[in-house]
Amino acid sequence: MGSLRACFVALFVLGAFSAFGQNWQSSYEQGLLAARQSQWTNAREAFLLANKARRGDIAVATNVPGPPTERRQWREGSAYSPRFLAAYAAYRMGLETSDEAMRNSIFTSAASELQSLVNAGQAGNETYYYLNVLYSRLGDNEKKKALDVKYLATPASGNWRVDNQILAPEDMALIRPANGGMGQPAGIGTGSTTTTITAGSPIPTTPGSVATVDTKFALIIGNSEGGGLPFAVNDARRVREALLLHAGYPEANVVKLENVSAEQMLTAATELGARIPQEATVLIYFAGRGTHVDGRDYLAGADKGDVIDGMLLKTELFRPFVSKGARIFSYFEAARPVEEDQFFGKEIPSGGAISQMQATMPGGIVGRMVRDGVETGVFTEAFCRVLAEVRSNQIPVMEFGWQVFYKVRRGDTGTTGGGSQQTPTLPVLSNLAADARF
Amino acid sequence: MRIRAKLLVTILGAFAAAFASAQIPDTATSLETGAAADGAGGAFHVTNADTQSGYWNPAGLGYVNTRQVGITYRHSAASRTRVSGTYQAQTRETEAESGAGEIGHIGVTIPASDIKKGAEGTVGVSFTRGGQVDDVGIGPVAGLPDVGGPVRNYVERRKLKVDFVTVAYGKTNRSQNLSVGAGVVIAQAKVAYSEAGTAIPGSWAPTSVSSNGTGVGVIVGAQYVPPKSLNTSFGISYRSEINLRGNSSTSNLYDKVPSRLVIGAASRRDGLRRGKDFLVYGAQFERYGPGTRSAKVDRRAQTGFGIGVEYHYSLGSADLPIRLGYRSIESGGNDFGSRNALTYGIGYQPNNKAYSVDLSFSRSGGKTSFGLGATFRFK
Repeated sequence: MGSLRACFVALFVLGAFSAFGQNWQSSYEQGLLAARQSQWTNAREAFLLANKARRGDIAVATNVPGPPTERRQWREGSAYSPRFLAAYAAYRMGLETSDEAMRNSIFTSAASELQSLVNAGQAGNETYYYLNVLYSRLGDNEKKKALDVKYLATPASGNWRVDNQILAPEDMALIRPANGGMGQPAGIGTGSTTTTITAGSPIPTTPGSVATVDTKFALIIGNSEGGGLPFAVNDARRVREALLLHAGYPEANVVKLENVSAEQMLTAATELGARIPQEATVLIYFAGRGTHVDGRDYLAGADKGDVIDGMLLKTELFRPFVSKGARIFSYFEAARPVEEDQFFGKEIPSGGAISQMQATMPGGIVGRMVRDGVETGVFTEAFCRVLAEVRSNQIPVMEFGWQVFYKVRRGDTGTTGGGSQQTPTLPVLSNLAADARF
Repeated sequence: MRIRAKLLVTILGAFAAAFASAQIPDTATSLETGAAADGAGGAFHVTNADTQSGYWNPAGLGYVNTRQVGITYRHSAASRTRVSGTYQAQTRETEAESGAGEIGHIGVTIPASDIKKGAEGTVGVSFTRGGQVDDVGIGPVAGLPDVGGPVRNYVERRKLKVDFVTVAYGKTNRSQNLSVGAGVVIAQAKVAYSEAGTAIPGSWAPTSVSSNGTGVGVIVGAQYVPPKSLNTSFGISYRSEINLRGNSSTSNLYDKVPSRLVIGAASRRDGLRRGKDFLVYGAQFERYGPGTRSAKVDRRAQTGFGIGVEYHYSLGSADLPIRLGYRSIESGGNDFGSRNALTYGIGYQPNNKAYSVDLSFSRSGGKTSFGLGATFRFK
C-alpha cells in the first residue's frame, strides 16, 4: 500500500515537473554553440531568445539552482550578456555580408544595440571597442567622438563585465592588455592613466581607426634625396598611415612632405602652426639627413644636400608650434655621425614643451629592412608597430619610447635578445612630463 | 521574555540530553551514515546532492552532474546495558558505546548521458546502513530471580542491522529550479536476539533467534529552488514501508522497515569575508511510520529533526567547511530512549581537485562517535 502511494506521488510530481520551466540558459548556450561554429545568424537568434526569456545583461556571476552547501555558478561565474552577444553576432553577420547596403544596415542595428548598452551603463570595454569599430565602419565620426566623450566622462566606463568567450581572439588582444587587467579599449578614451602598452606582437589587423582628436596635428617629412635616407619617403608614408589609423590624428591635421627643401619645410610648418589652436599636440616625424654645426641642429632639404645654407634649423621648425604653446613630440630618423664631438641631436631647445627621440645613438647608423616588399627604416617599422599595438589617441610618450626602443633592439628576433645593431635614444623631454601623451 | 526563557530551557534541556541516556539510544531506524551533513545535525540530507541522495532524497541526483564515488567509515552503534531486578521485571540501565569502525555508505553517481548519449539526469547506486542496534545486556552476578530460580550469567544481546541498496534516478527541469527523483530500495534487515545464562530446568533455557529479511520498496523525492531565491532549497522525500520476507524466525521481532518522510530546507548566505566565505543553515524534519510492535525491537512511529549550520571558510586553494548541529530522534519503543546528539565536523575541499574529505562527530549519551567520508568526482 505504501509503495502504491509512493508511486502515485512520484507520478504526480513528475507530471508537475514537466509543466514549467525557463529556457534562457539553454537558449544562451545554443547561441554560444552556434557562435563557435561561426553560425552568426543562428547565434543572434538564440541570444535574442535568451534575452527575451531573461531580460537584460548581468555583469555578476549567476548562481544556479542546486544544493545550498555548494556554491554553483553558471558557466563558472561568467557574466550573462545576451544583448551584447546578440549585437556582436550581428556585427559578425555584417562582416560576412558582401552587399554593402545590407552590411551597413546590419552594422547600424548592431551599433544601435551596443549604444543602448552604453546608455544603460551596461557597457564593458568590449562594448566600447565594437561600437567604436562599428561607427568607424559606418563612417559616423560624430558618434565616434560622442562615444569617446562618454567614455572619458564616466569614471566607470568599461567596468561592466561581459561574457567574452566567443569574441575574436585578435580583438581580445586589443581590448584587454596582455597583463590580463582591464585596460581601456583600443582606440577609445583619453587621459586615462591605465593605458598599457604591450610589446612583441605583430601589427594586428584591426578594423576601423582610433577615434580622432581635433587638437592633434602632425608634420611628417621624408627626404630621400639630397643625401637623405633612401627609404625616407616610404617611411613618411607609413608613419602617416599609422598616425591616421592607430593614433587618432585627423586626416586634415596631418601634413606629409616628401623630398622637400628647407624652405618648403619651414613654409609647411608655418602654415600648420597658423592652423593649430593654443596648446595643441604636434607630432613631428623627420626621416632624412641631419647635421650639427656650432651647437645647432640642422635638417637637410632634398634640394641642396650638404650645403648648410640649404638646411633648416631644427628650432625654426619648432618655432611656429612653440609660439602657440603646443606640446611637440618629435622623432628624428637620421644618421648621427660624430665629428669632433659634434653630432645631430645634440641641441636641446630651452624653450617650449618638446620631446625629442632619435632613431639611433650618437655615432650610430640608421638601419633598414624590407617589409611587405617595401624598404623601410628599422626605427620607422618599430614606431609604426608600437602605434598599431597601442591604438590609442593618448599615448604616453616615455612608455612609447621604451617600447620603440625594445622593438628596435629586438628586431625580428622575437621578444628576447638583441636583433638589431641600432640603438635608439629614449625621448629627451624639455618642459614635458614623462607621462605626457600625444 | 517568558517565551525566550522557555526556549532557552528547552534548548538547554535538549543539549543536556545529548550527554546522558538510560535506555538504548534509538538508532534502529535513523542512524548517522557518516556523511558530511551529519556534522551539521543531518540538517542538509534532504536538500543535498551527492552519492547519498539515493538514500535520502533521489531528487538530489538531478543536481549531480559528474561521476562521483562516495564512501564513509564510521563508528557503529553499540551500547551496553546493566540488567537488574527480576527476570520478569527488569531494571535496565544503558550506556552508549563507541562501536567498531565500519563502512556506513558506498555510493556512485553516473550521469545518464554517460550511459546513453543525450540522456538527461543522473543515476545513483548506493549501499547505506540506515539502522543499527547492538546492545549487550548483562545481568547481576547473583542472577535474575523469579523464573524458578535466579538466572545466573545472564547475557542478553539484541542486534539489528538494516542495510539499504538503492538504485535511483533524479532529473531537474530545464530551469533547474525543480528536481525530482525516484528509486527502488532493497532493504535487508539482519535481526538477532539471544539470551544466555545458566539454564533452570523446566523453567528457563537460553534462547537464540536470528534471520535475514529482505524487502523492496520505493523512494521518491523532490527538491525545489525558488527562482527568486537561488540560495535556498526545499526538499521532500518519502520512502515506502518495506515488508520483509525470509525472516520467519524473527518476524515477531521486526518484520518491516518503517516508512520515512523527510522534509527540509536549507539556505546559503553568500558574501561573507568579502565574498570568499559562505554560510549554510538548514533544518530537516523526519517522520518514521510505525513498524512491528515487539518486546525486543519495538517500533512505533517516530519523529526526528536536525538543525545545523555549515560555514565554508576559504583558504584560497581550498574550502574548509566547518559544521555544527543538533540532531534528535524520539524513542521508537520500549527499551529505547530518544537519541539527542550534538554534532560537529569539518571538511576539506581543495579547489580543482577531484576529491574532498569530511570528518563528523556526534556526541550522544556521553559518547562521541565519528564518521569519515570521502568523495571523488570524475569529470
